[in-house]
Amino acid sequence: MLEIACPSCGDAVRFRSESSVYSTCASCQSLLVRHDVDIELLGKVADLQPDGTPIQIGTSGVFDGAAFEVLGRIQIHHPEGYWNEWFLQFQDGRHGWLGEAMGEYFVSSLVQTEPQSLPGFADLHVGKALRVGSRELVVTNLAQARVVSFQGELPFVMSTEYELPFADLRSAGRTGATLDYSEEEPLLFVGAFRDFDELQFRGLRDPEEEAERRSAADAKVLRCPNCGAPHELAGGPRTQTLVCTFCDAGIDLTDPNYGLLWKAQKARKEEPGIPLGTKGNLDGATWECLGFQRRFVRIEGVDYYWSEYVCYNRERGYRYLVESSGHWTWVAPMHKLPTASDGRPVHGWPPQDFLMLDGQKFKHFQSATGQVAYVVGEFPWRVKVEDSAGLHDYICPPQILSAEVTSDGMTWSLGRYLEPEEVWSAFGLSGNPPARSGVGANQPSPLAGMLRTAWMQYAVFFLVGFLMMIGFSILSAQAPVLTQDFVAVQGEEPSVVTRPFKLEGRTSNLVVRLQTTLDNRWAYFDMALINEETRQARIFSKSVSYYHGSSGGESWREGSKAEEVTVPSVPSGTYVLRLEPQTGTGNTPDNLSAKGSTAGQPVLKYGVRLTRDVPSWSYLWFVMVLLAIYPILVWIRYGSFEQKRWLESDHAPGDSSD
Amino acid sequence: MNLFYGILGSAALALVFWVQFVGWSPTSVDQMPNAPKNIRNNPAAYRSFYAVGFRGK
Ligand SMILES: [Zn+2]
Ligand SMILES: [Zn+2]
Repeated sequence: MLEIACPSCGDAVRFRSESSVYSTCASCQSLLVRHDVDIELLGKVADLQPDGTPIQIGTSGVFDGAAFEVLGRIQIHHPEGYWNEWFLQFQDGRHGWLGEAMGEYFVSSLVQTEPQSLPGFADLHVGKALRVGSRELVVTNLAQARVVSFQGELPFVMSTEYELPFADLRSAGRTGATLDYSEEEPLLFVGAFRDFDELQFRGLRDPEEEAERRSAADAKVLRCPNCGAPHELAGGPRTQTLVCTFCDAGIDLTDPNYGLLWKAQKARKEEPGIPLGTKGNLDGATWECLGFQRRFVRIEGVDYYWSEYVCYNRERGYRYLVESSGHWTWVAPMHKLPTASDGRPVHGWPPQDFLMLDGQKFKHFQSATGQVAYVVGEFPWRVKVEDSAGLHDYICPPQILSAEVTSDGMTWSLGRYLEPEEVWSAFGLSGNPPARSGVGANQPSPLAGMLRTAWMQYAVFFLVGFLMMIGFSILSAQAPVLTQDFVAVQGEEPSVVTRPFKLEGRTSNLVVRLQTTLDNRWAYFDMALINEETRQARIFSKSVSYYHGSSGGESWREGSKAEEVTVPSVPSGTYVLRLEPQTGTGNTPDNLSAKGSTAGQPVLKYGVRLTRDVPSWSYLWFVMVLLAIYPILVWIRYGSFEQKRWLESDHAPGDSSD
Repeated sequence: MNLFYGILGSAALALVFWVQFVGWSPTSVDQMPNAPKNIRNNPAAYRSFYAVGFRGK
């Protein structure tokens, strides 16, 4: 470390990094340049604009396991507000940059590129895909920025009149890049987005101390240049536009003279349902409602309105609370891009059928042009009433993925459905939230969980039943007991008795299979299963019929030559089976005992086959069909809920434009 | 987890188990005692009580 005395005021100025050539004196804001041991005074730098950053020179942090310290700062102004590039020195001697704007943190470093390998600024457009190394990045923002001031040590210095055209690029992961067109060759900075907590900052600016200093410095109250009403800025220096809550005039806070953006709004004044200034707790942080806007889309000549609240937390930046027909969504801007069906980060338009994000599938819901109808309160960007943007919504309830696209930027955000009561309790509001109407685009179906459990329970029943039947199939005897053939002869006694047979094992069923030679006739078998010891008879019957023919050139058949009948719960023992067949054609039974001219002719040949202890799957199938009724009913109700949801989308059922 | 459905399903499966275990079937069976001993030699000596007259197809 090199420490020298400021040639202007004499205070100590430190050069902590070997590569720092420039430094500013903390006491007198002189810009110094180092030539070996000589120090040259280059004059004073412009004042830094208060921008509400929580970071300061000397703040330390950790990025991907490497500790860093903040040495210097470049403050940049671009159309969306202020942004800081903090010059970082890592413990291992590397240098990098921490880009910080509106609560987003991006750690990057300069990447050496081949000359002419990067496209010119004029060749870029929002949505253009670029390959950087192995990654595909997409241009999400194009703007002209202007350097405002510097602070601390820097490896180079730019004049503050410097125009800085740049492009922001994002990927399907947290990797991002910035293309800087301030020099002849574009400079490529590649890095990664991180959340505030992940960077483990220490030595941050003390908000209390800063507030005191600020109130001492500009004790003057901000008065509306239109109506003179006093205002206090809750969003601090990050607020770019203030819409007077009394007269609706728009005030440009980036203008030191507080110029008016507009005097009045066309739309009539609307009172936000959540009063501006209300603080709420969500995602483990406190958020203050700063701004409110009423927006609408026009679809087939009908305007659909919704409300957006701008919520602010100094460290985490901005969130948006969206309310539409009583449905609430908590929206956070995203660092990364969803992927399209081809696996590439989403780029270009028209919208896709679906997008993927973190392994979840988001279905396209609606695309429309959104306009601002009414605004009031504080906004971290320059508000233009009647601004319009392409809006694209994709849903995976309770989540919603939204893109807002203009010619110079594309912003992706991820929203989560909040129950109205959740909003009311998070913001400590009294009374009841407005009643919901219809089904919200990303409203989770109350039946989705029910449906999932119902099918899961059904699957468990099926599995248990299936394994049970497999068990019975393995363990049951399925023993062939007897096979015997008979012939019924005209004019003779038709009843027969089988050979005696033994039924073994525990009480179980006995399957009797009758195989006949019937041809366009029927047979009716009266049967008695008789226990030889107890003389107990089990009497049952079975009819068999088989008909076939042809009518109108179509051949047909009906019935079968063989039938089965299961005798239930037969205990073990020695049995005989008595069979008494009756045959017939149509409604007329044959007179088998008649001793006419056909006496002695065989009338019916049949065989009987007995099997002991046969498991039957049909009872399980029957039960499974009955048990399916409940999940099917839930599924039908689930379907009608989904139908109501999609009715409001571009993909309404029966919509020919789909 | 729907408790009622769970109980219903379990009961239904228990019923299927019982049906398999005791070898139940829906076949209508009449039990008659005292079947004649000589039935093997004379099947006609025995007629089940309803096995008389016309029984259609
Ligand atoms: Zn000085
Ligand atoms: Zn005013």
